[in-house]
Amino acid sequence: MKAWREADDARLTRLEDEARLASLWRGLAGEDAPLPHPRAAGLFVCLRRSTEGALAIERADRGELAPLLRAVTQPDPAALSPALAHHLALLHGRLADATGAERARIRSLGMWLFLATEQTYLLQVGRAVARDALPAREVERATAEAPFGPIDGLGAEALAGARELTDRAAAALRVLGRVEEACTLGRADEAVTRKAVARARRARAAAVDAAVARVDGSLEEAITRDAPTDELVALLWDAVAVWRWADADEQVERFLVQRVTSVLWDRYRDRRWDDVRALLRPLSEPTESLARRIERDPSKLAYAAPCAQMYVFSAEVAPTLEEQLRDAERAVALCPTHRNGSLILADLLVHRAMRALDTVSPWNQAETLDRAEADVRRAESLYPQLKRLPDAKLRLEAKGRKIDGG
Amino acid sequence: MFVDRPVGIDLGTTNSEVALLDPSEKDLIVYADRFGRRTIPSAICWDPRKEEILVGRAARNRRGRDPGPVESIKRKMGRDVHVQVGPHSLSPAEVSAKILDALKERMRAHLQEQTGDVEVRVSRAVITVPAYFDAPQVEATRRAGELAGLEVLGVLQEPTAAAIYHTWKRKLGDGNFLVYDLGGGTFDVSILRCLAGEYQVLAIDGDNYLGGDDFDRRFAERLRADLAERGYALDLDVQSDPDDQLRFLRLVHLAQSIKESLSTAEVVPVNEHGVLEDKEGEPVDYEGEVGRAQWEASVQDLVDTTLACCRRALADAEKNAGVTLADIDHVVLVGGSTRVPYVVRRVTEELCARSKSEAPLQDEVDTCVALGAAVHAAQLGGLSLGDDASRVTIRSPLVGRGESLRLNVDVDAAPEGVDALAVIGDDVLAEAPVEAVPARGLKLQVGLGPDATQPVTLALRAGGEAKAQLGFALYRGDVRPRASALSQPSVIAKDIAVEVLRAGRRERRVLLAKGTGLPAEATHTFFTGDKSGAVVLRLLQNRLPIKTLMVSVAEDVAVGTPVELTLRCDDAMRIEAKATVAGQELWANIEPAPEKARGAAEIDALLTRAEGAATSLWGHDAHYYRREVEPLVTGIREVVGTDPDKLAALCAKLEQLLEHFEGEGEGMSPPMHRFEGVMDALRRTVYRAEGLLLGMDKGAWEERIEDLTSRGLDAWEHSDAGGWRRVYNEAQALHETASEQEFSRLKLDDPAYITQRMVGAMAYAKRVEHGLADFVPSASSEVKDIQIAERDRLLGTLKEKVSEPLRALGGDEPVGAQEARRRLDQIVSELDRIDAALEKLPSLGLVTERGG
Amino acid sequence: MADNPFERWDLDPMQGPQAITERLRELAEDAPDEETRATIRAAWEALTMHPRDRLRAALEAHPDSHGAAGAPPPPPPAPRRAHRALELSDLVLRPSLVRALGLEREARAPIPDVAPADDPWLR
Repeated sequence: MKAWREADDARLTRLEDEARLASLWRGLAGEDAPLPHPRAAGLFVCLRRSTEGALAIERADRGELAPLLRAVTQPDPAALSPALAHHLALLHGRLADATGAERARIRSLGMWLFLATEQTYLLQVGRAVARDALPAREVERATAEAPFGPIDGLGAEALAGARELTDRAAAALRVLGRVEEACTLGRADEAVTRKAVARARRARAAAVDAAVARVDGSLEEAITRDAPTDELVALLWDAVAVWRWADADEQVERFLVQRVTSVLWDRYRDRRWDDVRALLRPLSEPTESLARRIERDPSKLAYAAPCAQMYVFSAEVAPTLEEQLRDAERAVALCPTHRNGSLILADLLVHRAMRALDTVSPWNQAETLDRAEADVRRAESLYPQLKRLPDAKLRLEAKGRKIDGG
Repeated sequence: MFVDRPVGIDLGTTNSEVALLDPSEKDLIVYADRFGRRTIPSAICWDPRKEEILVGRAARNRRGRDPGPVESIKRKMGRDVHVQVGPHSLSPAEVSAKILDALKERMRAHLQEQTGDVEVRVSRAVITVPAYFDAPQVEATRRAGELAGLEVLGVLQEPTAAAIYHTWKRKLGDGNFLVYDLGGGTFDVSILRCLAGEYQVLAIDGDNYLGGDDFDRRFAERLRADLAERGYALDLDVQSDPDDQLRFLRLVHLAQSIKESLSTAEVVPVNEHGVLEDKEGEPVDYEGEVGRAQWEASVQDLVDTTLACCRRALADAEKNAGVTLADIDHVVLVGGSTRVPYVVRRVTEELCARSKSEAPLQDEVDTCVALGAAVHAAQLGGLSLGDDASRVTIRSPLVGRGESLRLNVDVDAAPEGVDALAVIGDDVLAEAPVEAVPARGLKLQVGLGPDATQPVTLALRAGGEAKAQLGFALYRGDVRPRASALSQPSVIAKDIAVEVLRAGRRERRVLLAKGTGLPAEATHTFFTGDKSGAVVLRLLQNRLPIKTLMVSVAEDVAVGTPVELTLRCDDAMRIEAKATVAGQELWANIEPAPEKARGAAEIDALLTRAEGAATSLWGHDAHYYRREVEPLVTGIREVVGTDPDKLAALCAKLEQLLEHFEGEGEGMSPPMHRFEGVMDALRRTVYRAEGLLLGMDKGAWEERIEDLTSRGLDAWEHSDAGGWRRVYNEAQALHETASEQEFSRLKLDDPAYITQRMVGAMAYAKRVEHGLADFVPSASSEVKDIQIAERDRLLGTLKEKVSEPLRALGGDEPVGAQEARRRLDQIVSELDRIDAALEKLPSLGLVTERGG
Repeated sequence: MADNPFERWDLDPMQGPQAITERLRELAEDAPDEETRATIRAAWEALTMHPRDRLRAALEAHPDSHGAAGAPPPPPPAPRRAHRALELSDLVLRPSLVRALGLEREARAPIPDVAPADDPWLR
């Protein structure tokens, strides 16, 4: 019997690679994470094909793990072989499963998208697996689709936890928002990038829709039933939790400013100011966020009016004149044609003018009158039909300031 | 001592068979009477002289006498009807139980004759059903087995049973099968794959109400028309006149014998005198020749229908498993009606020619289902042995080729103190300790000698002393490929779904998909969608309601409370549903829907309704409608004058389907017309604006409106509920923003404007009031009650908070402009709430799903 | 992502449905409980029902780079262990054992790819 055969040599290398995989994995995932399948050790075969890779393995064997870790976590896309990318895509995917590390998930996606750009490798594997069980066209389609599967997987994960707002789902949502990074990492070409980003966006929107649908269902029911304010406020806080979970998503902001308007109007009409205040409190952050978006990007004008209306309500119940004016100004800035915004700002300006006129003293008369006049003029331009306007003008006139065109 | 080997039973529309796999696995034993006839007619009859129920041939022989036999009961299975058998009023399951009991007893006697002194018991069975049977039909079949005193080990679909028989007989390990099963009353097609001896059901299709009987009825109707033309008074009212029913039945029997003769001859001379009496008492003679071509032309469309089912099944198989007609290795014909040469020819031309199978396999067309069921029964039930105090079941095969055989044994009952189980031949061959009784899965490795048959004894021992000795045998022989731990030969034939609410729209959510192997269990979590105090879980098979579970819950149970629904379907296809919500649990079994008799006018109305529903559907719904409703409509038109049983079944089915489709055709919420309304208003606002509106010119606005519209239509067409809602909201927000410019110029306190608004509010109130008055509650009584209660509540609110304040506002008492405006706002806000609640009325109590 | 059935049950993705069926049947027959059997059955369905699903699962499993990825499929499985001469793999199975038994050796120069037919591990 031959003592040592070539086949045994190969087997020994495999066993050694498995041992290397185990220590690499512990280094990456910690002691408790279950080891990947032994075939994952094939990544060392791929690494060994490049000089740097072989060197990194050699140094790792001597106890210096850094070059190996670098080769695995930051592979040079220019020197990356498809088989190595395949191993890394799966390894990082499993790492992300085990540790929840977003970075690993993005690396995994990056490697998949590298394979999507590269194209031929997966097709070869696909043909070897399918043999003649599938028509060639089907094999092509399935292998072209495979690299995008993990994006759908993230979408499914986000959707699955959307109702309970789980951390896992939130993490998936965040990664979906960072798919472009993965494209860069995997040097994905333009077509692959476009497809990946569109997929991720759709998956994200679906998960956010699902999270919103839950609060929407409760809110709609409560509103239809004319539920007490306390109950509505609690539901709004719940909606804000969705907003935070979804990483301050614009979709949730839009939903919030639109959904609550009718409720606020009901309270406003009945002059239940405390209720209005209570309802506005949860909304302040999302409204502010949406307002900033509209200000930054004028093409988002659709929600200008509902958002401005929130500031109008806010201006109505703010504790000080300064704060009232600040909110009213914000409303008008967001939507210059907003009727209620113009009305309340005009009213507040006249109010400030009147108050100034009440407290005018000899040593600052000119300055005060200038300011009051400016306020009244602006009020008139904003809302000429304002009821208090003629009275304000009369009082200014009495002080010697005549406003034309009134 | 007794032996008990489970049998396979094919409970057919016209005939039934029972078979058993011999423990040596060399032979399949089919019951045959002393004339060697292997089928027993599925007929029972009251014998007024002996005052007892006759089953089988004795019953069928009473055809044409009074009382006549009850036949084709399978067509009534799962329906809430009764038939009169002498003094007894029996349900279809009870009639079937009589047939099963006779099969069981005759098989037992047949086996006993061959066995000698060892008592033979027949207590366990696998019963077959058409693959396309509905849940209530399967349930009734299983219950029939239990009523006949059988333990129903499993319910197996007929085509699968046939495929099992053919793979068993031909020792086929691999291959794709298309099983074409045309029985007396049903048609089934299954596509199966056998993979290293394991089965996969790839697709199932069929028609529960199409079989050889329909060929006969079709031809009988031809004969009737022919005779009527010759001057006989044969304008028959088959639906309600029992005498006419009998007259038509005579013609059906004549057609049947013509069909049988035509299977061997091209032309059949018919020379029948006094075959029946016409309505005027004139004896009817029929003389002439019937050619095969003439007969075939009359049933061509029925055969077309079966082939359409095959094509649908193949399409499903391609979708599920990538298997096309070109991949089919064997086309198997099953059922007595496949003896018709025309059927064989069409199948050969249209299926075999494009598959790998040159000609269809058609051996044992009558019995292969029972034979396959017997093989499956042996697999499930093994062999039981016992005596007064003991019962042991050997679950593994008793046949092997190697040096030893591994036996897997259950001890179900044993005398006191038994602590070991041994297999004894010349010596103790194997022994295993028995720790407690019953004991499951004891493993015994038994040496296998060179002889073909080796008698051995199974001993139950206590302290080394044999308390019971049960003789059986081990066999040396070929082990045929057969399903084991992986296969699940019985599958769910049609999707089982629950109705859910998704973005305001009623949708089906599949809980157990067709093709799922049995046993199967699925748990889904849904969420309450309102505070109606009820949770309504309407289970559907395909689109046919099979059971509604209603759980009453406290009204303070929050919207979005989880509702857990578990659906279980066991080997015997028993479906059980369990719902848990807010700590309450509700169990339900599937049961047939009550039936009502229908007159001609009602049937007409039903058909008109079906036409109406068709025009309101499109997209996916229209596709399903065509697939499921249109064959029913055609079927009803066909059998109105010939087959009252089938007519009643089809009408009941159509009515249930219509209710479902009419409910589902509502589209998404908000409805399309609202979206269109908002978009129109937006266009008008843009059109009216002078110069730039919000910094955009008309061109830019048009582009924007166009983009929004196309996104909306896209979401609508793809039934993307989330996307639809998003676009709708955006359209509404944009309209609001665009209108601000105009709005800011409006004089809100102008009396003319206030009057205009009041007129608007009154019209709105009227519309909502009509909506409430016109609301049609659900046909299901439980749901109806909560819907009516809610509607009445809404009517009350409308009166109190809308109608009366509106009247007061329009009255003599002067109200300031500002106050009037405030009150109008309040009224409209209230109307919005009532309108929203009205929209939810039809779906009250329905659950929503994750993401809905 | 869920457990990959090829890796969970240590199956070679390059093998056809027959071989997968036979291997899973062995596993199912020896399964300790009904739950495990159901999992195996589900894996069987997933890997044999539609070739497209098998392909997808194969792409989601680590390729066998110690053989030759993308190379033509290996020959059908060899006879059972009992018929083979005892080899190193029969003695040393897991990396942890390699180390425990002191069989670790210094890293060696990369070895050339082994043709699948020559690699006993692949059989």
